[in-house]
Amino acid sequence: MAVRIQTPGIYLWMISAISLLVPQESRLEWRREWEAEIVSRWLQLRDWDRLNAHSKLDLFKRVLGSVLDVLCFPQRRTSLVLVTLNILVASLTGFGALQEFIVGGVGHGKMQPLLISLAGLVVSLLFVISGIALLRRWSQVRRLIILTGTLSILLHVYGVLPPHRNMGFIALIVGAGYGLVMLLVSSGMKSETRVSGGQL
Amino acid sequence: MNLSFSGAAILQALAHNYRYGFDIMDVTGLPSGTVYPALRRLEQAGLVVSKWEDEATARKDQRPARKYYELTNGGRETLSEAVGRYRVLERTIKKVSKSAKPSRA
Repeated sequence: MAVRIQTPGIYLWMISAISLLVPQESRLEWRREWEAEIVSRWLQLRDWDRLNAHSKLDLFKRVLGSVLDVLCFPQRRTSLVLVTLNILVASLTGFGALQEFIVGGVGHGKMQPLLISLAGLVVSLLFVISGIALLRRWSQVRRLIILTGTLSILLHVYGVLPPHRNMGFIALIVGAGYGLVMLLVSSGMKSETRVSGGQL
Repeated sequence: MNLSFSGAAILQALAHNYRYGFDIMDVTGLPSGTVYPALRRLEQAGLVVSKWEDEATARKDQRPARKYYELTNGGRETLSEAVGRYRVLERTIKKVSKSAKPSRA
């Protein structure tokens, strides 16, 4: 059965989700412009009795195009690289943690793998959140990066230690290494703040 | 100033009173992923200015206020330069295509 969309709600929801990627200082205006265009077009199509599958698909394509629009916002190149790396490391950590959770924790019913896998999932989630924070330039981004980096180092160092040895050395290099990179990035942010503060 | 084809098309649309993002897409055939970033670049270059529509006008039409774009004087000058360049290009292509025989694959 075909799904009949009778309100522009789904498009507005998409715009609201995509707007999370827009830098904070421009987000409100960007979202307002897109929402106004979508609602106006929807009402116009409805008034002209041209609200059909073709026009809805056209509107959907336009909304999808907003992702490209967002990517064209001036972002710091280093931020984009860090966000991509964050997502990559989050996926690797999350996948490993989920595997350990299912096999070691739930499958074998052992407490230690269950706890470390839960910690891994939390770190993975923190990587994603700090990635979003970098992209959206949250005010607390530095603290979040320090927390994520430190937890990642602790988790991965503990993970390779005997007697449990939950992780391999490659996981240690990736997880703890990237955690270290995040700590270095946070120290870079501190010096940047000092420089900009001095100009005032 | 060097203006891309899409930039020139957008300025041309604005010159013909298509002032909203979706209207510009309709008339130029350009996708939203091209129109909006281009509008932002043109605005940063001072060729275009954006304003929010009057709330009362929008309310009268029972829709939210939209952001509209207008050409600046600099935008008009840049557009006429670009149009001139495209006309020269068109003439050159016509001349070349008259004198040259079409190649066959």
